[in-house]
Amino acid sequence: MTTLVCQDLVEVVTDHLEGALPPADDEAVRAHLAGCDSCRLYVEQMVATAHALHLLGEHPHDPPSVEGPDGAAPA
Amino acid sequence: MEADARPARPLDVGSAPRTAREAELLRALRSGDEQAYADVVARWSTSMLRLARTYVSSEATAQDVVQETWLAVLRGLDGFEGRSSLRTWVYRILVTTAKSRGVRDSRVVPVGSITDEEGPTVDPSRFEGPGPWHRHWTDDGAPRPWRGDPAQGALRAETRRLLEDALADLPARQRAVVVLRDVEGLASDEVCDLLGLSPENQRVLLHRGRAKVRAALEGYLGEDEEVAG
Repeated sequence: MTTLVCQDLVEVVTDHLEGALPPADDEAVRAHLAGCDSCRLYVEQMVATAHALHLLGEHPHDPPSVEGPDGAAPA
Repeated sequence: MEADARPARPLDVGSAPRTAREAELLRALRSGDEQAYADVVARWSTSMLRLARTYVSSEATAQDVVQETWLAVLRGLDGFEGRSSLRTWVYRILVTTAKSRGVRDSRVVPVGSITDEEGPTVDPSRFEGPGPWHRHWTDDGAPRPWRGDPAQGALRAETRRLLEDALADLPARQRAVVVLRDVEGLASDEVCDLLGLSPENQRVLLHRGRAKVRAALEGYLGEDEEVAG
């Protein structure tokens, strides 16, 4: 399996969140995140950034659907 | 330990369910309901201005573009076939209008470099040099937890200003993508279609834009200071 270092991970965060990585690469991202608190925090902050940006818009009837950084749908 | 077997799904910050509510709005607009028109203009114009500013050089021109767009929307309502959401259709008219104004203003977004720039999105000095931890975060470079979640509850005025400034500082294409995807919550295929981007380029622009806005939030929420109370 491909291994990934932090400096590579931060460049594929969006591809990961968008579900656009090939399965093997996505697996490498997940494996890295499972063992790296700093990268997990980075991904969470990218997600929080997107959600904060959404609050800028005018969406009175349109609450954001919140997902975790692993792309999991809300329960 | 947090690893999860479920496949990653695109981060969906909230595309509107475009069914009953939109049909109702469309019916109201077509029947000449002035209150419905005033409401939708009030609700969407801020976002439309933000997007228009991506193409033209002044706030005043952007306001003209938004106004022209609403006129074109009213003229075209009967011909709207519902193949996209109403909002996407309105944005398409806006982009077309803004582009032609941008050409007159000679401020078209350059088509040369699709991604606007190259290089890493995180300062390389935040990662270790050669050695066993090569290219891992350094102790000082690693992200720190933020003081509070910027997306929790209502956006504070200060955070709102910071986000607006960070958006304004983005290169035009990144701004257009981040505004449509994150601020407006459009789906990626809608954004690709609206802006004429490939999915790959759209993701690159989104990534670079989000990374810069994250960095701006980090500067504001991540300061290493003791916060009392």
